[in-house]
Amino acid sequence: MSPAPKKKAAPKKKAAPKKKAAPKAKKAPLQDSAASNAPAEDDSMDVEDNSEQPLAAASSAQGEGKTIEEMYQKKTQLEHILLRPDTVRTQLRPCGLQRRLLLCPSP
Amino acid sequence: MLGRLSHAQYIGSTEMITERLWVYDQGGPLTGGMQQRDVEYVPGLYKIFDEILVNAADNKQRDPSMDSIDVVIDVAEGSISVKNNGNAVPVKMHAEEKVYVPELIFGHLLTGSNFSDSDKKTTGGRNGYGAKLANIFSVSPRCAACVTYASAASAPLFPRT
Repeated sequence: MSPAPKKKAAPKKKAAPKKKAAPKAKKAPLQDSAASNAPAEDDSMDVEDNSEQPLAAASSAQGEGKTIEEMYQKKTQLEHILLRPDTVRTQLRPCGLQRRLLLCPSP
Repeated sequence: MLGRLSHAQYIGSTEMITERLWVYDQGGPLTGGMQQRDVEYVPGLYKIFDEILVNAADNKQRDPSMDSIDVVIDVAEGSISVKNNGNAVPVKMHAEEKVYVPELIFGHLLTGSNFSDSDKKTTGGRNGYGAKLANIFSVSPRCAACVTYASAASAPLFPRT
């Protein structure tokens, strides 16, 4: 939405004043936004360092150990399709006549 | 825009239909039992409501302590609200997308928290449309999911995308 930060340009009168969030490491949860709105919550999403952990943590609740950016994502249409081909590919098989076939439906 | 041109593709028909369905009848002769009967309803409206309901149910996977979903249907006002008492959506800036998380997952298509196959799901989809469809097809979509249950009185209005 907002224009990408060109660099550490001098803070001219931009439309939206960028907070100091941009240069931070992108894995770190952003504290300033939390302070303004959300009540003091120490929920499972506030985890600082887990960047190397696989997502499949054997935790009781989901989302534990994930950063905001790992938890919530935007994917392009192409990425969605590649992620779950079975949701868009099912009609490709011929279904005209019934016959016994040996095939591998999906990898 | 996209949705309005071919909305049936996304939410189903917006015409009233009659279909024989199983319903829970609180005041019926069976008193609180399931009944199969003809129901008049609009599939598209049902769908966008169901998308939100499913999201609320899925929050149970994220927060096992969640134990209620509160649905209020105000016929006079023409509103439906769905509330669950699990962990709230974090009101934090998403560093990559540069928007707050609630706006991202309720207002931007193709987003979600649902892309890891290791996560358990109750019912929800994974295509990044669900709650956004309810947003798109609502006159006044509101989101208070981002505040805690106790202080859910405030309801910031979200613009349509």
